[in-house]
Amino acid sequence: MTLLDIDDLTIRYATGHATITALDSVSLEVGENEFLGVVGESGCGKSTLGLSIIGLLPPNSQVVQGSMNYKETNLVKLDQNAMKRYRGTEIAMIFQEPLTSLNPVYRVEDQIAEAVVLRKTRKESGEKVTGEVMQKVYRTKGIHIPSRLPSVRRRLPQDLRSEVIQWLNLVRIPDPEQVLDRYPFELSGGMRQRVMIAMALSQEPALLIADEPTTALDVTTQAQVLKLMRELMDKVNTSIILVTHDLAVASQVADRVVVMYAGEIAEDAEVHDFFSRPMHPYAKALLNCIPNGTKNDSSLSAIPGSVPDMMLLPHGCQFAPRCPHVTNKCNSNRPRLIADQKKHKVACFLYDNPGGDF
Amino acid sequence: MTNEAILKTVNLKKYFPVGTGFNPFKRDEQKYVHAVDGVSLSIPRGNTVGVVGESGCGKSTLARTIILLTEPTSGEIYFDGKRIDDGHVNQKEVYRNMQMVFQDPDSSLDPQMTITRSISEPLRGLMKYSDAEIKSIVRESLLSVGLPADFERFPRQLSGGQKQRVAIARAISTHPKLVILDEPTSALDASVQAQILTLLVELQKKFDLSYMLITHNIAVAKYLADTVAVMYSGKVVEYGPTLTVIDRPRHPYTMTLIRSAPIPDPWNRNLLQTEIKGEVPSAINPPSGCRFNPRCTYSEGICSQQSPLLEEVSPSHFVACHFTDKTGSS
Amino acid sequence: MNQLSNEKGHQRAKIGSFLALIKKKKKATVGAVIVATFLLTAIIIAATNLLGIQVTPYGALQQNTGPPLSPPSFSHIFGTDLVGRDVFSRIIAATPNDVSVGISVVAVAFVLGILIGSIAAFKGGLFDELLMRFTDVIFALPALVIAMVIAVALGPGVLNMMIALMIIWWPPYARLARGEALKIFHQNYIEAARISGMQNWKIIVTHVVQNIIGTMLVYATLDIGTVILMYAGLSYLGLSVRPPYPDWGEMVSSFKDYIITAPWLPLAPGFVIATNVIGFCLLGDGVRDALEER
Repeated sequence: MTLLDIDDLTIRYATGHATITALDSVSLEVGENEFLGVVGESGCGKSTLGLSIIGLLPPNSQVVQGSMNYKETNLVKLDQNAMKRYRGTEIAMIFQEPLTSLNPVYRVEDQIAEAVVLRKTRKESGEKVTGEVMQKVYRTKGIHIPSRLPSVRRRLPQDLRSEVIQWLNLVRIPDPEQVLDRYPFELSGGMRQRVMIAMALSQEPALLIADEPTTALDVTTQAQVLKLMRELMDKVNTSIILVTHDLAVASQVADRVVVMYAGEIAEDAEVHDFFSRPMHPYAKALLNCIPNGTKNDSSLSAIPGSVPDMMLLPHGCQFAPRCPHVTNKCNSNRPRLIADQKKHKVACFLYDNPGGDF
Repeated sequence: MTNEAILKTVNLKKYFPVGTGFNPFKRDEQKYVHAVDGVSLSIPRGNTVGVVGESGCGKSTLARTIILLTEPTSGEIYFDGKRIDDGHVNQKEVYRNMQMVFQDPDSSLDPQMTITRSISEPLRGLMKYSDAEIKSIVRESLLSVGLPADFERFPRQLSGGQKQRVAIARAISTHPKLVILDEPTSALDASVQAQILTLLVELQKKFDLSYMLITHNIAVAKYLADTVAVMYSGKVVEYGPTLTVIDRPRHPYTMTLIRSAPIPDPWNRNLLQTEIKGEVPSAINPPSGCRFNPRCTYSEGICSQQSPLLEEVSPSHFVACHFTDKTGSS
Repeated sequence: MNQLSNEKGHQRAKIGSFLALIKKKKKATVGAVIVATFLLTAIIIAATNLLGIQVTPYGALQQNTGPPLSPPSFSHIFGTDLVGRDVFSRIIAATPNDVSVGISVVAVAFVLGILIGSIAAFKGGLFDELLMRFTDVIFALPALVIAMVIAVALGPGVLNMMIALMIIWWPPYARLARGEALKIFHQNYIEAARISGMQNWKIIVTHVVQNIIGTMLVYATLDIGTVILMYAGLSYLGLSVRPPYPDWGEMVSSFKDYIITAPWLPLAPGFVIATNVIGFCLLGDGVRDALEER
């Protein structure tokens, strides 16, 4: 069943001097229990995509056209208030820099407890959860009450505390009892990211968007966090959209890979299908950019030229200026996204021949 | 082929005192961060030595100590056979032959200087060239890195890849013998990284350069380096020819590191099969004995008592582990 | 040669870019116009004073130019004072006082601050601590008390008040310069300069100072207004120029009793002080906004 159906979405940013088209007619689907890897280089619009789903776009952005249907509701049509019903509950997000995502002045247990309590309160009182309601809950449960003297520090009620510990265990944090009392700055990057994941998943979201969650982490930590995300996806019945610049990372954890370039979807395929037969020239070039072997026995083919200036986008296919297979048609027309029988989608005139390969 | 080392370090150590202690009574309790704790390596002329490790392993400090930006706590550094770590060395002479490219392209160029002026800085500071000579060398350097010879711009007008090329141009402008590359492509996109790596290979051949490559990216190290040294908690734990260390590692940490590096192959999801417990240890109070022992699956009694030394397990392949017989068979 | 012409080109480029910034934002342009007017007036008055020419409608010290305490009119734009002196002429004649104090105090504070701040940041350690604690001590000295001490020791007057303010005005600049310089020292290009054989002083001058000067200049421009206000306050208290010589603050003080009967008397110099300060504030604000946008 399709969880999220994005159709022809175009988003523009108004800056002082010009309008930037961050997303241009983007269409993709996310199914239940699916791990989607959205891959692209800087400026391709992948972050905008994530932010638009959860409704956290900056004020100078504008949805020019398109729809985003999450379980029959068009998220595009919702205002900030209505979006609150989904944000953090059914659709959760974790970000790249864990230190700035966690509140530095509250302990770990308070932050996770807040997430847990939020979910429970929402379930009980439906949608009518306001700030005042939450404040009252915090006070009764002893969350976020600062205290300088450890002896008079209020502790969370035992049941809440054990649930928080359960979540810490789920994200494989060692010595959860100790970690509870810590502040975010006392934790390592990997631990902070796990706390973020715990907070996000404690809401039992149907969809988790992870925007470059491991880019700031060490290689071994990254491996652990990615592995964790993959495992939890099945346990908690969530779909994950992983936004990353690293194709290799996507290949290791994703079920499906979506390659973006200059605000558009270039290719969209099941992961094994993608790696066995990449179709879009950009996707192929990107694969060839990954160092694979030594300088003596392999060659790194770089893509000539550079990513287009987002303010002066070419008319036809965005990749045309750098494409080795470019034709006249590519410069004037934009290829549409077409699919083959294996639902392998690509936007390129090499494949869009009437009566041709497809 | 006799390849004397262009650079050699002997038991190099760099400790940083922790906290600003003005308290004379607590002098004995002064703690130190053991950033680099006894590193001996050598870079043969014309080779690339890759120093690989995660954050906190000391590789960046190692680079900065070798290039004398920070004074070593103890140990020796030899450049081209001559000792450079004592106070009497002519630093300008050293820098004419050893330069560095930094990680962050945004912070390696002075934002209010044109890039041509930035590139000419080592020429003005280290050489006695006339202005005309400087101008022509700058043009030549720009061309060698694939930029136009007339590139009078400010850093903010350049992309990340272009800035890094400028940084490389600056580093090679005095035609040094050794260039230390500190994570030269970590901040760049994949396609730009490919361009820069290709450029680095090209420049090495063209100017007969030796490289010391600092990176956390195994794929980059495999591509560029001839020899790889793996660092963990201030020490080198494994050292040898690139393909040997990366394809047939023998140190438990190296094995975990290699297995954690994502490869673009969905049929080989090595990432999902690795397991590593614990975190990088404190650099102030490292574990006793082998630094890796609390996290090592092969660890036994001796590991927490005695720090293993580097031993040759196969030609030119050194590993610091008490149980290389166990790791060899896995 | 090549280097020199490059440098000149850079200076021209910097002035040019400064002007461009001013043109960019309306408030900066307005502020610049106001400031320029006052500056020009100050220079003209100072010059003509030296040459003995009078450019104001009436002499600043000339009494009985009209009936005393007469309200503003065509011949006396701001009316006349107790002894029939033209208030407008006196105000114009007093311009050099405030403007010169404002600019020179800030200039000295600027230079001292950058020097102390960047050297403290560079040296670090004990030196830095000592320098900064010294800065704190100076910062704690109240301007008014110092001004009064100087007035007692050296006598009242514009120059002495200038000196008094110069002594105590630089600490915020030193703090700002040090903060900015510390940020710069962490940048890779400083390390690159070191391995390029650049001597430390050269690094400070070419890399550090050049990069912090923008922020400092904005602060300085905004600060001139504050100095002028402070000086006007000191001269209000009688610590600066004594009558019959004109000075804005002093005029406000001697006219304060007439606020009901002849309001133009205290309001005129007050209005002029305010306009001058607003001019500098608008200029500084506008340039800062323009810089942030870039």
